[in-house]
Amino acid sequence: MRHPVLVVAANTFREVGRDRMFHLVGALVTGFVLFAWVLGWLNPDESEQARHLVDFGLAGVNVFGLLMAALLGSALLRREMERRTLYTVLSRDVTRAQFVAGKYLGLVSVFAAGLGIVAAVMGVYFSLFGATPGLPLLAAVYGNLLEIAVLTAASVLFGSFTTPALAAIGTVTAWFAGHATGTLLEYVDLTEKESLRPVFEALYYGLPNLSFFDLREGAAFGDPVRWGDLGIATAYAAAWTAVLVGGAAFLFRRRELP
Amino acid sequence: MSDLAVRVEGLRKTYRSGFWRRRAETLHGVSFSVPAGRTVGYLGANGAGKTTTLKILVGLLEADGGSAEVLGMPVGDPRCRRRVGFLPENPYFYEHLTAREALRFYGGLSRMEPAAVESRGGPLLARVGLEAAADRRLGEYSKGMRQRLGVAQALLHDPELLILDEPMSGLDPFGRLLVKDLLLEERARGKTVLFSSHILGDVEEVCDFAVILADGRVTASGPVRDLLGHGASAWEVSMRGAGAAVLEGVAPGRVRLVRAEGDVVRAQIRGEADPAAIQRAVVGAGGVLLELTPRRESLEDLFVRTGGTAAPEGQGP
Repeated sequence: MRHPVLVVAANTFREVGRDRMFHLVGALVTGFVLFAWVLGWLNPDESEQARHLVDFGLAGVNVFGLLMAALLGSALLRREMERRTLYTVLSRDVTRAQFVAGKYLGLVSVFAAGLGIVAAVMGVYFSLFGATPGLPLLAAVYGNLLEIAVLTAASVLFGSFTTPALAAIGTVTAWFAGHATGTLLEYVDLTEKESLRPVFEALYYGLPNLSFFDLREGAAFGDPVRWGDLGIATAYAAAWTAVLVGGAAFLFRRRELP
Repeated sequence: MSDLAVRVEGLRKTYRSGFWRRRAETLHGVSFSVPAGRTVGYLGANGAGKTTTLKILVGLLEADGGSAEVLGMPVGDPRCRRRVGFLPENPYFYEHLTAREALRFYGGLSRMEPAAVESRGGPLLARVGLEAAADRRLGEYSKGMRQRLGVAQALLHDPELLILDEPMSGLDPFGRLLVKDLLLEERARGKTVLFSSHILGDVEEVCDFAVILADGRVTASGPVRDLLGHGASAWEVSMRGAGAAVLEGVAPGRVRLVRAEGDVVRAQIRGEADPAAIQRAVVGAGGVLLELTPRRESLEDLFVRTGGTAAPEGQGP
């Protein structure tokens, strides 16, 4: 006997896994990684080839992850309501919060599986060329997953109160903002424009700082993994996810299902 | 368990829609109850509030006023739904699943062990006529097939109470017969069934009790037999060689000419009448009585008759 959250998650995993759009984006990601491989191959400096693959490939995965989170996360609940598929689910002993958590978990599990495949492809590439993929690459992929998990949670939250199109735009905006807040604080430090500090600090602490999860550089240069930082990043992502998914569940609980 | 499987008291619901949040009051203090082990038909025209009531009972909607209990627990408590099987109107399912996978999914949500889902799901799919299509994706299913699967998923966890919204909708005559048989089987097993329907003949055949709803108010409710009465509500008279006027002496002001073809006249007398007096009147006028049929009020007649008049609250069941 499994918990309803896991039952809903498993069904969502299967649903998204069989979705044509997911296959299309999966093919695009694969194409992009191959493109990164070709770019690396064209580089005469052999030592630079692996770095190109990691740097370019992971950046591509990050962008595609954003797109997937924005497109699939924003429509996750709306689609259930429009297709009325949730009537036969919520009329059982399943709370709306469990339903939202299960849907979210299922979607993130698909992304995790997708990233796992990307990591495996890169690992094979490294093995073919005699280099060790190493832990830095895995850490960078994991960081990517944490970022996608937070963005998906934001997307699900936006999708719980507005249209999928607006929710997707909101998610992309959150991505930009999440990568910019750290830079904005650095800008204040550099220019010493103290009047801006409260605003930028509010943004910094009020929005998830996504650059926290960016471990690409360390992977590209083979820097050793800092496990403490990785643990903090995990806790940070978990806290933001709990807040965002909790918010989505709270809003969804109040939605009428006419 | 309480004697009542469902108790609804003064239920009110208002929808708000559009930019200006315009209000549309759908339920105006609906009260009724469903005795345990009985089959109750919930009748009403489109927009009467049937689906809204059923959705409140299974937790899909929240009432604005009044109270509702299912199996002795308030409807806000999700645990009460563990023992309830629900079929929504025109059910929709995840199109990526097959019927077999869908039942595994619903069984999991109902906390069933996988082995129990397999042992109950297979025969259920066969019972609703979907055995051959059990491994086809639901996206390829017709409306009638989805309806059959809807009935199967509602029965899967062997619930004590079945709440079915238009279970015969979208089904061909074989499908309707099948659902009627299933409802009768569940009744024989002591289960409680509450279902809404437009097909009044089906309700009359299957139900012990009926609740009639019009414009968000209960207009009649009670045992079907009591609602329909025991005596004749009208008499159909077919005669040759005498006019409908000869019946006026038997039932003044209650005679209606239905059809006259040559010297054969068909007439109807509303309400009770003495058949011997009808015969005497026809023969006395030189005519021949061809046919004399008592007509019992059907649920449809009752439905039309009570369609707009609210009954006092608290009337059974």
